[in-house]
Amino acid sequence: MSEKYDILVVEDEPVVLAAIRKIIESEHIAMDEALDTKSALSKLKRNTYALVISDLMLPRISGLDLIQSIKEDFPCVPVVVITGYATLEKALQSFKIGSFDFIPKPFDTEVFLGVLHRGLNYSRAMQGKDPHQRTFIHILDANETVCSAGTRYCLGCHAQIMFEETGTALVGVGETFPGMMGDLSHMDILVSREEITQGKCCAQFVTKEGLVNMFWAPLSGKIETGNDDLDKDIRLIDSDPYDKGWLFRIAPYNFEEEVQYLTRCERK
Amino acid sequence: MPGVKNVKNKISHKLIAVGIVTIAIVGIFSYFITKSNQRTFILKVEHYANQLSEMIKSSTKSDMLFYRRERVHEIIDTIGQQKGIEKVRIFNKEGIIIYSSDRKVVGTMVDKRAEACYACHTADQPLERLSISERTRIFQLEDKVRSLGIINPIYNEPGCWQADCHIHSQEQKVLGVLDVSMSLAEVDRLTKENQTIVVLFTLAAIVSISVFLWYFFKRLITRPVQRIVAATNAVAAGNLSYKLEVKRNDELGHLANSFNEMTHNLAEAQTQLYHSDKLASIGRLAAGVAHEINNPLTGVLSYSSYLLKRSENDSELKSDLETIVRETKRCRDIVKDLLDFARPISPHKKSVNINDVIERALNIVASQLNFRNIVVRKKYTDSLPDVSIDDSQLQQVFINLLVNAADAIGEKGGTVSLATRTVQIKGKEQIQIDVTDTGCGIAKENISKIFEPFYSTKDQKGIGLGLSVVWGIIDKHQGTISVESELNRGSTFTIRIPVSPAAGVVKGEPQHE
Repeated sequence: MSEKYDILVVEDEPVVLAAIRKIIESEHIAMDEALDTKSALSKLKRNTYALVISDLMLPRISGLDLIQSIKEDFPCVPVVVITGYATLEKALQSFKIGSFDFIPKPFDTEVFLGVLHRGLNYSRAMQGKDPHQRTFIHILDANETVCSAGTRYCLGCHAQIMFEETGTALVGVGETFPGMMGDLSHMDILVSREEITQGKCCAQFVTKEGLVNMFWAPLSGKIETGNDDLDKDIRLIDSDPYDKGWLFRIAPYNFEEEVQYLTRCERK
Repeated sequence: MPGVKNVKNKISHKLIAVGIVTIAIVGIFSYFITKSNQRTFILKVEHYANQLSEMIKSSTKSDMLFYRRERVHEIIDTIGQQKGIEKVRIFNKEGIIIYSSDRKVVGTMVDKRAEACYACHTADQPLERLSISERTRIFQLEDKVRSLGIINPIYNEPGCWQADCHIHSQEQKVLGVLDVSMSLAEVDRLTKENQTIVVLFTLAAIVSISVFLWYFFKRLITRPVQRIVAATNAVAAGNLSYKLEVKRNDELGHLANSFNEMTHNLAEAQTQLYHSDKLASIGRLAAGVAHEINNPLTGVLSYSSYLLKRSENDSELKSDLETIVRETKRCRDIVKDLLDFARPISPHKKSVNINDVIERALNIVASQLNFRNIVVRKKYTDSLPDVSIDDSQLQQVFINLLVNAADAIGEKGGTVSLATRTVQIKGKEQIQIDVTDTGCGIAKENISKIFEPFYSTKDQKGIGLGLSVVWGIIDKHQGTISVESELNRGSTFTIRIPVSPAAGVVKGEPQHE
């Protein structure tokens, strides 16, 4: 019999699974669990889930394969990746194949709940919509790398980059943030030495409830300026994320190399 | 080391063999000299005897023709008494002794089987014309000295058968034989003397050659070889800083030079390998530990932060839980540093100018340097060739070095100098970058440790991976990094990167999942 859950957690480590269950159930969210990719896929076929949270390192079949299968068969279900071996490449790979977000282990309740609620909100927002009706249209033919003014690139649905006339680029959030986080309190900039590195967390948004949403840098570069408007009004992230709500103006270091994890996109 | 001993044994064995061969050659040589001397002596005696025999024959010829027997006897007696002449005899065809220096045997038959005659006389065969060597024989009568006998046939001639006495008929070919025996005592004595001298000289030569060879072998080969063996043993025992003193310009001098060069290269390679190996194994360890430890840490952090969230009303519990959360997050950061360190990326190389990379690094740490009143001096070489490097990794190297320099200088302010130039190392063009600070310097005993992972002097500020990362990146670029430092004066880090790295040598550890 088909059941309806909010979340499917795929994790082979019992202690992590138990901790997640504890956190999720305290929020009165219905959770189901799977210990490996195979059982996760069979559960996905049988039941309905709003969100999947999966480890990358699973026995036998890896989490990356699981995400790919979910993206093919259940394109409306966002997948959050958690991993104990968090490398830049893993994060970037996950975003590229369409993960909703990426949480490195160990995580605290605030970060976990931040992603959880954002993911559920995003899932709800996507319900009934054509999965391709997104804010950004990804241009599949991305062989030609362009960085002329106005060109946009995306890191999955997580972040976007817009090139300016001066060769600098504006880095901002993708469509998984605006309106999905609840009331924002402030933003923490997590950079040392005025530069951001592709695949590293460079900022986090904190809600009034204290939930944390991590933002992963889509490109490496030296930070030219931050966005003063955001300091004045953090709600720009929700209201005008793709124009006035940018986070950093950077001078990219190595776009040609890093573009492999990005897709060219147009705003709809 | 049994191998070395073996070689030494073999060399001495070979030398003994060489010595024996030398002695044998010298011995054979002296033997032939002695023999040849003896033969010369005997030839001389033979010649002399022959002459004497001819002389007797011609001086007795007229007396014979006129049959003056007494005069013949007289002559033979006189000659027979000469020193060294044993006997002079004349016997007729039948072998009857007609004349003799020893009168007692006159009229008796010569014993053709006696040793004196036997040599050239097969019994009962008449004497025919004989050459001088066939007429000579050397014999030794019992207990006597050796003698040389020479026979001289007296041939028939018209004067003989026409003489009035008519003793000889015309048909006879040989009338008789003149036999002269000469003592070889003097010759033998001289030969012996000669032999003794040659043997003595030979022995003296052998001994002096041996001593000479031994001395020079010891001086020129054994001692230097022993020194090289000692050096080899020292190196085998792990002392790679062992240096051989090179005084000579011969093959062994070259060997010592090569040896020194070899140990030097070996020491360098070992250090390089040691560091690479260490970094690689720490990378593997870190990756393994990070993965294993992150799951339990997730348990601790999520449970404690969950409890913290629920303990809003209990301030004491709240502060304890805050400590747990904070410290767990610290663990997380350490593991994260470790993972970043272990990240096995092979460089993505492209052709860039090092000066630009340094400028970018300076830009990034500029605020940190300004804040500490640090003056940056740049001594760039403008015509620096582009090098194929991973610029973001090299930038990381310069950032780490600059941050370290700033930390070494501290709050009191100082200078950081950056210099770039090209150098020729072993015929290969390299780019040298010197990063010099006027900071606190590094104590001598710590210099060897600074590139080791987890070595830190910055108490709480880091886990000591900065210079290790630097080392790893430079190593992957086939470059070298070295440091010179003086306490309280400052340090200079020198990086050298080949302009065109060796083809085919792609350093970089395998990606581990």
